[in-house]
Amino acid sequence: MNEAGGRVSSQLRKGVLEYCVLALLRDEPKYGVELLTELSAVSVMTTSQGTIYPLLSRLRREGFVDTELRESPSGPPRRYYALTALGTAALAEFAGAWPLFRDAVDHFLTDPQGDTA
Amino acid sequence: MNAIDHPLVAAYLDSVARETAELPADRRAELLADLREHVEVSEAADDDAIRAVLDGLGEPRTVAASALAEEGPRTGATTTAAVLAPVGPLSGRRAARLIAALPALGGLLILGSPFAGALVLAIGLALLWKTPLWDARHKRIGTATSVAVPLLLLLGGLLLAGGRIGPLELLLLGVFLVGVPAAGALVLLRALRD
Repeated sequence: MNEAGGRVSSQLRKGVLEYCVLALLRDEPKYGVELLTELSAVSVMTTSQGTIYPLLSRLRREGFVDTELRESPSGPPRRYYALTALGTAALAEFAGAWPLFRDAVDHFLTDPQGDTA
Repeated sequence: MNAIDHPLVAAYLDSVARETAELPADRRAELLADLREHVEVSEAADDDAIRAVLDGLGEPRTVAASALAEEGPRTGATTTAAVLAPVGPLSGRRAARLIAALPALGGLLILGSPFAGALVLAIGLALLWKTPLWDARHKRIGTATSVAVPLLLLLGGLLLAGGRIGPLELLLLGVFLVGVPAAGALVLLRALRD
């Protein structure tokens, strides 16, 4: 059972995690550990933090985010991720589609016959 | 000692490197640099703190698997897409059958319940366009054949209302209503086999 629950969470996370990352970058560039701290504050969003880096790498290759190395007041330089225009557009598209999906899924979960019409 | 030189960190990075042997060299180097930076930024000072940081990153195998998954379906572009089995939640055999059938089913369901039918059609189409299983051309075919059903229904309804339709036309319409989306689903499923 536990296994199955983990599978469901993991599949759901795969679909939405990248948009949560884009949403976190909406207002300002952030570095990896900073993003992970904010994601981990919501328990369902990350299990293995290391998996965020391949995701960020893909988002960069797809042009949704830009990266920039910045000096840190303490410690080593940090790689900051910033939203591009393409990323902003993808986020807006997701924000528009998400409520429809959420309502559709709720609809099936609460009224499996789907026969309200 | 700097966290990055700690034997636990070195062992962790070695494991990730081993598990990602299939990745292109630059992609692999980037991942290892990202993980190294993560450990450095965390500024863990002692063994326990370093262990906690590495535990947070997750099993090397899990991190490697996600790196390979991000790489998998996209490197193939169109030509090798069939050779490189796509990975991800929408790529399995069962998912493929479901995604091929949903838009067609949704169109047919509109006959009985317009609301439920439209919803299934919309979800089916959304999944169809999201999955890496098919290229854009097949996605367009799947979309066209399933959207054809409500259009045919509308046409049939209009003709029927105008009294300009006989039993033969009605039969023909029925055949098309079932045939067109079924053919679309078949085309999608067949595309996966070659």
